[in-house]
Amino acid sequence: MRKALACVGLGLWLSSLGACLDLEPTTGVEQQLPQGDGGALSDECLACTRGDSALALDCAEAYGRCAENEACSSIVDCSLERSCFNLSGSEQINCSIPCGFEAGLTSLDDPAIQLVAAWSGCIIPACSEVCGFSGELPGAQDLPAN
Amino acid sequence: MKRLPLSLLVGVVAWPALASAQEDLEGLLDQTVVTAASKSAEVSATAPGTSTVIPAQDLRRFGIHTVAEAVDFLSFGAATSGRDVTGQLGGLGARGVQVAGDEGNHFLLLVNGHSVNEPLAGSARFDRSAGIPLEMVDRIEVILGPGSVLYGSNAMLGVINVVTKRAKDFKGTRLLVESELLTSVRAMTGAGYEFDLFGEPAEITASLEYYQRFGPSFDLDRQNLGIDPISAAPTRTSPDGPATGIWGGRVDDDSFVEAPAGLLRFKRGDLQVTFQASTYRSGVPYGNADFDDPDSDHLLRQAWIDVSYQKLVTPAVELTLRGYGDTHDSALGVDVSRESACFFLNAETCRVTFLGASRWAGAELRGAFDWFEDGTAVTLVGFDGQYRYAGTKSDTEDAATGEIVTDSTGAFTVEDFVFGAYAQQTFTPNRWLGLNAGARIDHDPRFPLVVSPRAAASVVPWEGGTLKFTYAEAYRAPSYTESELTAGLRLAPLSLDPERVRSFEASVEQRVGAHHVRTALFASRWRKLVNLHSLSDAEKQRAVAEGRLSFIAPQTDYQEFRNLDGIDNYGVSLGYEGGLSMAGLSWGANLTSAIAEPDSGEELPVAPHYFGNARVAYDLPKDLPTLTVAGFWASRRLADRGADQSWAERPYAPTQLELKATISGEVPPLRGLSYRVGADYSLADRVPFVIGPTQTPTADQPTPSLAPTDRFRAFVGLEYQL
Repeated sequence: MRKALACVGLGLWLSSLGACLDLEPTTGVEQQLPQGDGGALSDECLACTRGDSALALDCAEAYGRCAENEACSSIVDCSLERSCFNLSGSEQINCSIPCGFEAGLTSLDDPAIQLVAAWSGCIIPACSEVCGFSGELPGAQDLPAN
Repeated sequence: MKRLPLSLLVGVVAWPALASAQEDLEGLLDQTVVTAASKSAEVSATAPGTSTVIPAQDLRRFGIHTVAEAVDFLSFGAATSGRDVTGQLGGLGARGVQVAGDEGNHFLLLVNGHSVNEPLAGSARFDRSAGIPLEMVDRIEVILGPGSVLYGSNAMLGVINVVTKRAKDFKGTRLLVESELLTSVRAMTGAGYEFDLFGEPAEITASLEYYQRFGPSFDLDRQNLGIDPISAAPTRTSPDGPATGIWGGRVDDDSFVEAPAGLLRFKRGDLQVTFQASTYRSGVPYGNADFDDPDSDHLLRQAWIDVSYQKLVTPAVELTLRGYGDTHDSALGVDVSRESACFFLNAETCRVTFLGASRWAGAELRGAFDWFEDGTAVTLVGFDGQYRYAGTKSDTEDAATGEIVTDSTGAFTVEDFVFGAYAQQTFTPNRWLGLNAGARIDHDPRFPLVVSPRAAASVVPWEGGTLKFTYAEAYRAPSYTESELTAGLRLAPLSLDPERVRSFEASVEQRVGAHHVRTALFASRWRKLVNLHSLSDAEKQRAVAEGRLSFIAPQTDYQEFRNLDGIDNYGVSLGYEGGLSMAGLSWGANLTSAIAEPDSGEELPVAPHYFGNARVAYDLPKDLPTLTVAGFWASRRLADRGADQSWAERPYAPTQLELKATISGEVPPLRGLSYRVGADYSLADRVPFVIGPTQTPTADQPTPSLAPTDRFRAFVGLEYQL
């Protein structure tokens, strides 16, 4: 009996060894995250977010650098579409998470975050009235430059 | 020291001429035998390179628990970088060379001639995670110097071959219980039996052990991580309680190990099968994650089987066919509660897992041709082909729900075929001269063919004396994580060459009765060492043009592995062994002084310039116990990140002196019952590894924290042979 139990124990351990790690990459993870309800953005608002309006002329450079970067411009467009900036500061981050995924980002360390932070740090306060943004910043502009 | 048994002497292929005369036999009885240097049994005095053979008797009586301890306390010219409080190693070096971040990558570890270095990280384990029950070990052969001539990759510093016992040396069934007081318990059962199987003598030896460590608790320096950029509050370092921004303090929950292991060897006639399997789950107290989190763990699993058939076809020709298969997994999982790490994850605590796996299988065909059927001239040729699979990925999940919240990162899988062919010629024209020359050529699809030659000569100019000269080259293939992995800001390199080393050594040995003195002078040149390189602006632009980088973010440090540094290494090792057999006394000491100068002009981290060991054993008469004291000494060593960061003060691990006292013997009234008790004391309280989240200097922490070691340990064990 004891021999049988020992054999069963040994067999279970060996079979656990045989269970291979699954290295198939996980893809297409979807998030259920908050979304703003600001509706369609006005032309005036869109111009402001591009630094084209008098309200945000100082932000033209930040917009330009972001626009040159595929990930940054993708996150910004997506976040505007989801009305993320109408939400409070902490909710903005959660709202923008799927945008980060869509843009291929997986970590806060991704350099595109720096560009998004520079853009949002300038645009959100400047365009809050014309776009209906909450005006709160998510704190991302304080991110260290690696 | 292991003495050459008479039966084995007859079988020493390379030396039957010496063994032919009775007086030579008597002389050889004082010699040690090594099998890994030339893939055949030969006396260590004349084997290529410098070797130490550590017998089972010394493993037991000096209170040795791991291969690493055996190397530190009993070997000649090799040393670890130190054992931390968790019992884990940073690596193994020799002759003043050890590469920071090394996990045994530059030593080849064999078990009964089977290589266990895994190809994903190139690592081999020498601590308890090796999963080798030492009670079943007959001897540990430590052969220093490049050994790729017969074994291929990884054998740059040397080869360590763990040889397990035959059934006649492991007879019956035995049970063992051992405990490091208040911190661990180990239970082992083993058996060795000889029997007839289908009319042919067969034998089986096997052992199973379970090791569990449940401590000790220890303190880590506190590190102030400051304000989290997302929460704008102090960084959270645990899932519960207030966020303090402080990592460090008392480790209670994340200091543990659970490690079952088993080893089996079966032999019937010319057929031999060795099987090993082990798992090793341990805490992760030093990582950049939640502090002292019992859910953060690292699981290693390995299993392998090696089947060999050795046949003496004619008196002059012996063929060996060997097939093998290995699997090795690593799963590191850590919980992280700081908000910035979970930025995209919408989870309070993220569990980040790093999975790595490698599987490899192959076959080796080896032939030995004894030209004159007397061992004076033996040609060995072999071919080894191997299929390899390796891969990694990292996933992040919500720790509360177990739901994966991101796509995998750092994911790759690779399949390769690698081949090697080797030839070796030994020639022993007379009793005072021995010659050994060979070369191996290896094919790996990731880099051009590699040739690893070796030439050695041994001369016996006078009674008991041996002069030996060895030139050898070796290489290490880049691990797959070095050549294939892209993760975060680290790019996979376009190409990576193997690391190379060439070495010359000259040694002189003298035996007088029980006394044995030896000196080895060595010089080696290391090239193309693989290390991380920060890309310049021009290199970043080239990476964009090559499509390896989508854009260049400002002020961002992108890195990739490159063949960067070289090392000039030279020095001397001295060794002495002696004893008074009538009085039951034996002793020994080894000392190495080495210089290792990287081309960068920087100091080589981790490796001690001076190290050695000394030991005394006293076998009291009759049923009285054996008393031993052994010491391991290593000069102060620069910490692993000591040279690549601008710390306010260069961090050094202090000079290490570790003393080990052991008493072992039989329990006289109870036949078959034996005991072993001992204690370790370490003078140093740190080993040279920077730990914790702060890996670069900050205003709050201008100097790093080094991994602590436990200063005192005591153990007691009982073994009962049925």
